[in-house]
Amino acid sequence: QDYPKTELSVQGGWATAGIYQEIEVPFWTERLPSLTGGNVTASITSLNEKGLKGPEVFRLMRMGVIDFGTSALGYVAGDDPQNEGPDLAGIALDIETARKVSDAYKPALAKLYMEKYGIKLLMLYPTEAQVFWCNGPIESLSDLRGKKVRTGNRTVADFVEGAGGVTVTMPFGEVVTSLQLGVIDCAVTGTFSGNSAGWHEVTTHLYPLTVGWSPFMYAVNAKAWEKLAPSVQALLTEEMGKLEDEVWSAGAARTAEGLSCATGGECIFGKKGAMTLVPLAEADVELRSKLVNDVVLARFAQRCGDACMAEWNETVGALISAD
Amino acid sequence: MIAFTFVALMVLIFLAIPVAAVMGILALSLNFVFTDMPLWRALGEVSWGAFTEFTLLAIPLYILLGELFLRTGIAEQMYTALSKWVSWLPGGLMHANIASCTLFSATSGSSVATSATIGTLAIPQQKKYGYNERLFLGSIAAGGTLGILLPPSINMIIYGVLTNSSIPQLYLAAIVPGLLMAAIFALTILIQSSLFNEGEVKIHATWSERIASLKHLVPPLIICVVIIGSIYSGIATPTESAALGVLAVLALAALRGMLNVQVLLSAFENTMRTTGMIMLIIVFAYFLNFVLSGVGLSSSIKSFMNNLGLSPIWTLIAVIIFYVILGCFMETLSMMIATIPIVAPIIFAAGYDPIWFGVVVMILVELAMITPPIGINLYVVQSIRPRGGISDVIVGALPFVVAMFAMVALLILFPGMTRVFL
Amino acid sequence: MLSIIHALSRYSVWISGGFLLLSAVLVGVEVLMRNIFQYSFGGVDEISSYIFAIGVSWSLAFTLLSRAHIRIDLFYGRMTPTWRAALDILSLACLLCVTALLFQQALDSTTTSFEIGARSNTPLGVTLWIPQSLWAAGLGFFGLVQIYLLGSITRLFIKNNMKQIAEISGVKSLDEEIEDEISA
Ligand code: NA
Ligand code: NA
Repeated sequence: QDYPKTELSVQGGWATAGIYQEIEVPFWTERLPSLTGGNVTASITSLNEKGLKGPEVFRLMRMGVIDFGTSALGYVAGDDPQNEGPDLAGIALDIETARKVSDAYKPALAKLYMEKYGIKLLMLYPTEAQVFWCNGPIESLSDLRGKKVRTGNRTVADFVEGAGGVTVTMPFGEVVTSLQLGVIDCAVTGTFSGNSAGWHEVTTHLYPLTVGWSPFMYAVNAKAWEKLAPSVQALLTEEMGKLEDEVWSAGAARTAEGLSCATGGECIFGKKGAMTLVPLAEADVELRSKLVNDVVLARFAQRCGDACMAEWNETVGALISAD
Repeated sequence: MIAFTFVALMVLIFLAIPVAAVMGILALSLNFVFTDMPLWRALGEVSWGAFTEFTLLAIPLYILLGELFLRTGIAEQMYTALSKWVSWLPGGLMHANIASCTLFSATSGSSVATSATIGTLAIPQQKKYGYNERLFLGSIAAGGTLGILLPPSINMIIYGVLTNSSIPQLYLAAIVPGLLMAAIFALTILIQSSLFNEGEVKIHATWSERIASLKHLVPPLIICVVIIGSIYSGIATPTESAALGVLAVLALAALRGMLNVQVLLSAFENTMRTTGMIMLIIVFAYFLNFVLSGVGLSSSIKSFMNNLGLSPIWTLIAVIIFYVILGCFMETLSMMIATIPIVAPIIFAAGYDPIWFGVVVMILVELAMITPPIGINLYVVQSIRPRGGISDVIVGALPFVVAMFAMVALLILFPGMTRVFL
Repeated sequence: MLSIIHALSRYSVWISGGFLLLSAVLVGVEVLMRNIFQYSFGGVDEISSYIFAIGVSWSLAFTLLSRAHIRIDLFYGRMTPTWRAALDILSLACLLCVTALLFQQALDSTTTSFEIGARSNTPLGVTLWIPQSLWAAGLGFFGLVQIYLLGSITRLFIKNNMKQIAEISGVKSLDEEIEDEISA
């Protein structure tokens, strides 16, 4: 293949999330150049370095300030509830389901992003399973009743409220101390990110009911994409497809690693903790389905509207009920 | 690129352009000279992000709190009471300056507010009792810097926001170093006064006077307990605690019959004026930071540091020297916002604890406030004096500069002091 | 005219301060409710941040008129009044430059929010262009005040009235600065 000299500019994700150093940076700065004999190169910076909060990435891509960029779907769920579609709380307990859901809903999101932001969706990927970290005993879902729970997005808030919990919003950086001091009783985040942020030091019980996968997307400003040579476009499409598979496998590995580290099991990259891993009761899995149907989906339908809900039912809904 | 940035920065500063505009123009020129990307178009998004950062809401709240604190006479009674307790020591009222700054710091998030308040109360006493003028002024300029080391602290909030560190943990970590710093300041005064006995009059108070004065320490202690207590009892987050502090001062002011529309309106004016000044700098510092990393300057500084291959301790020392030099010339807020996103990752990668480093940065910022030529606390103290040149304040602050270096050294040697309460 | 501008900026600061106090009360109530009744309104932090953003943007003009935007007078203090006045004009022109860009980008951000129907990702789901337009308007007010001031001091410069320029836009003398810090 013949690749013209091309320099890509990439806004990567959070430097603190393992995926940035392990996967994003090598992909853009090593793999692409080595596949193209050094003709396609890229510079990448993390959100932290730019002092960004995440949500503005979509808009900055729309303006053309950023060409290639990544951001969490949840950050712009306010702009359009469709962003919640592939990650409604409680719909995918395991990563295989999450992947199927993600693939099924991808065309809908690609269309939305092109219309709304003028950006081309390149891939959808998870961080890891989002679970409950509590600083006191919790045996089942019903124990959330009356507890103050920090939630990171609306659909998890709906789920927690459905279970009778009190939802609290606060910056990620304040969660550790708030858990330690009892400002809140539980908080939801990924198994690995909670472990790397030291949540296992301030909580005692890890309740592993997965209420989401915190999906991210990689996209590119459509005009910037048009300017690329067809060979480079083809290369990027193919390589990002492979990358997507890798990131999903890495998500599964990180989920397991984080869970194991926090609860005193085998631990290589994380920090070993001594939390109690609460076994997931069969009754809770059933109660979860009820909450998903009665609360999570009902509220999502309200936010999202009829057409959006119909599309969701055809894609994700059909898949979930088939399971 | 580094040279261009440095020269442009110096020229703009020497022309006395407003600091916020200096950063804005610097960012724009870096954008146009070094890249085709329209980075400047991020200004709207970046500044909306900064303006709506809930954590920064603590800034006007702390300023409002201090305004109300001063206007209700609480601060003056506190100074008189403390001077009855500590003025028998060699160095006399200068110990009252440090003690008042320390106590006031526990209710104030700003060093400028602390030295302005205590300076206003203390400086009239200096001539009256014949103190060594320079050291006396220095004790206020330096004591005032404790405002950002002891919790609550605006600068620590900004550090926490920039590095994603827990603000309550920063507060807890700074308590022991903050009190130790106050003790070192007191020791500096003791040594100086013993060496050069300037014949100041010591103020002797009887024990009954001292006991009677204690009640004047109650209001500041209440505020302190509301702010710090609400954080550590798990009732409130730091920003929320600042709001509770404001409500508590309002209640105290109302009880003393000092609360009226006039007091509130002039407190609003001072609060919003200072907040406007700080926020405009913060917004353009965020923007500058965005452009610096967009044009690759941040990463070239980082790889420069990596290529030096310094050991962790030498990396730390290099960073400290960098801040000491920069602190001579730069206003402290802009210095923090423009440098911490670059410096902090280097230090963390070298294996240092973010919370511990936050405390170190606070002391370096304090140092910058009393080093010439640009040291905000020097100016504040100078401006309260009826006559005399700024060199008196600069010379008087020098022993405290030494004391701060000693404190940094102690922090490096005994990092555990930040973990006493953690 | 200048006195009208002063009055306008002062009123906006009073209103901003009032709203700041209001958000302190809101936050206080939220803390009490959460701790006593285990109930969280959800969104007090968000509403307070909008109040903060709008209040600060409408206060920037007052800060300018009080000559409180920090300038570093390393050499400025040693210059002749004419040179100082020239630097005052340059400073204001530079500030106007970056403010104009800030205002324009803030407007751009507001219209983008309007076009894409942006809402905050919180239980409140605030329609973003509403607080953003109030915020951008404050920045616009800040810019207008600068245009007027720049016009006035340029006129004064031509008339060789350096003293009045210093009063309007000079770097504050130390005495003036402390007066602000401690004035009751
Ligand atoms: Na303080
Ligand atoms: Na300095």
